Order: sequence, then C-alpha cells, then structure tokens
Amino acid sequence: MIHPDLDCVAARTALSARLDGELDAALTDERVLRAHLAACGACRTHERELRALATAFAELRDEPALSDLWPSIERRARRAQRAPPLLLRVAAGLLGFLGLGGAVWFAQRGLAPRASERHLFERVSAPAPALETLFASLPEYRLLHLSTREDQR
Amino acid sequence: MDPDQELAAGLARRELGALHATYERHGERVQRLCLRLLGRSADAEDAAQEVFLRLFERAASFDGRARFSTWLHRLTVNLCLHRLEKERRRVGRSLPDADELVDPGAAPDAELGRTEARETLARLLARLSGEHRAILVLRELEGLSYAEIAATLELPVGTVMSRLARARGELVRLAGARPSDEACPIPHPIPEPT
Ligand SMILES: [Zn+2]
Repeated sequence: MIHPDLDCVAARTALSARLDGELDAALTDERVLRAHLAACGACRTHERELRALATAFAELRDEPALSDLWPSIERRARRAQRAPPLLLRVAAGLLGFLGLGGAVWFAQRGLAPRASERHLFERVSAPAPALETLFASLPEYRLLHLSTREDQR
Repeated sequence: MDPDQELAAGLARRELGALHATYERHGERVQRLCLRLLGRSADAEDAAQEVFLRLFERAASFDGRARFSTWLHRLTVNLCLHRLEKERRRVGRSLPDADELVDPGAAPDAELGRTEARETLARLLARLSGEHRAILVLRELEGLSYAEIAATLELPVGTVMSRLARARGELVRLAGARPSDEACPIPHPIPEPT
C-alpha cells in the first residue's frame, strides 16, 4: 500500500534530496520513503533515472578551458574609473533635468518670472554646472581624479 | 580580517588593485559559472567581464549580510539569467542550441573524449528554463549544498529542494520524449505545481 503521507510528488522530491545527501531538508522519514518505493513502480523507475542523470552530470563536471579576461577587464575598469561614480552621474542628470523642468514650467506659464520669483527661477533653471565643477567640490571625486592621473603616469 | 572582506572594502573604494585581487581569487569560478549557464564561450567571457565591472561599480552596496563569494555568485547568476531571458525574447526560442552549450574552447582531446551521454545531457540542459538550469548547474556542476544554493538565489531551502526535484523531473521527461513518442520512462509525469 502506498503510504498515505507521501504521494508521488513528495516521494520524488525526497528521492532527489536523498541523492544530494539532503534528505533532512525533505522532512521525510527514510522508512516512509522506502515504503513508498516498495509499493510504487513508477517512483522506482524515477529513482533509477535520477541515478543515471547523476552519472551523466559527473561527465559534464570537468573543468572547461578558460581564458585570461583580466586585460579586458582592466581596460574597461580604468575607463569606468575615469567616469564619475554612478551615484554622482545620476545626481548630475537629475540636476540637469530639474533645470530644464524649471525652464519648461515658466515657459508654459508664458510669463517672465516675477521679481519675487526671480531668485527661484535663477536657482532652478540655471544650466547644470559642468561635471568638473560639480564634482570637484566632492572629496571622492578629487581622490578619483588623483588616482586617474597616477594611472596615466 | 577575512580576505574577502578586505577585497570588498578595496572595491568599495574603487581600487583597481582590489579588483585584480578579486579576479585572481574568484575569476575562474565566475567565468566557469557563466560558461555553464550561458553555454557559448564568447558570451560567457563577455558576461564574466561584465560581472567584474558591475562589481567595481556596485561593491559599495555589498552590505556583508551574505558572504562576499555568495554575493558575487548571486550577481553572476542574475546577470546570466537576465542575458538568457533577453536572448530568449530576442530570438523567440527558449535557450541556446545544444552544440553551443558544449564549450568550444575545450582541448581537442577533451572534444574526442566526450561521450554521447554528455552531449545528450548538454542538449537537454539547454532546453530547460533559466531557473531550472541555474539550480542544476549550482548543484550538479558547482557542487553547492542546499544551504549555499538558498543563500545564492535568496530562496528558502525548501524551495531549493522542490525546484531541484522539478528540474530533474523535467530533464528526465525531456530525455524520455522520443520522436516516435514511445518508451516514455515515466508513466505519469509529475505536474508542475502552480
Ligand atoms: Zn510514487
């Protein structure tokens, strides 16, 4: 009789886990699994197939020939290093976008900024500062800049 | 200090030396994993390079909750699965051809010594979903334990176990699907749980 607590799906999950030496993870008692196998020819067949599969995988496990990727990685990393870090690039993009947004907003209103708004307008729609100027004040960028120059020497 | 912790700290400061040391320490494993997941040698090499460049850009986001090597393998698996998915959508087929999966960079001797079973398995593996392929590669080829796979893929151990069983069931099913539709070894294939 097939054990009522273990259907074929659970039995095959347990079989797969047992093959990996991880039957504990299946929370299935070895005796219950054996009882299921004794009663279920389909799962016995599945167990044989899983064993054959494991043997076939062992054949695939050899070490493939690998290339030295470091020269390309180094070249690409140096290029990335010269660019400001991602966060700063995003921040710069955002500032540029806000600047543009301010100009568009005022253009849509069709009004010259009122005197009381002028300071706001100037601050918001001023063109985004050049990257150099923006990042030069940040210590991280100065460090980067130094290391880049060192690399070039 | 754990050498990986040191590497992570150097990477967070975007030190090229730290990137080189990381490549020396983990490069082979990353490249092998890419090759096993993506199949084609050229794609795998490009993906492995991208893994290290991402690492250089994003090492600051490594929070130390997982081991550094686990985090790196997660980054690698995710990047490869993303590429597989993009490729699948681009060409409208599931995965690379089987002959593309077998490493063309292998030595001639190894080519000759390849058994029929090995080729068949490679072909079948290429037909699995990225999810099933990834978990089988991590278990069968990389030899990770369930706990390590769970940490790499950020899944509960129980899900690792059931996904592996389903992936193997799928492989067995594919292996049994003869063109003439005879001799299917499994009388009642397990339905994929929803
Ligand atoms: Zn059964």
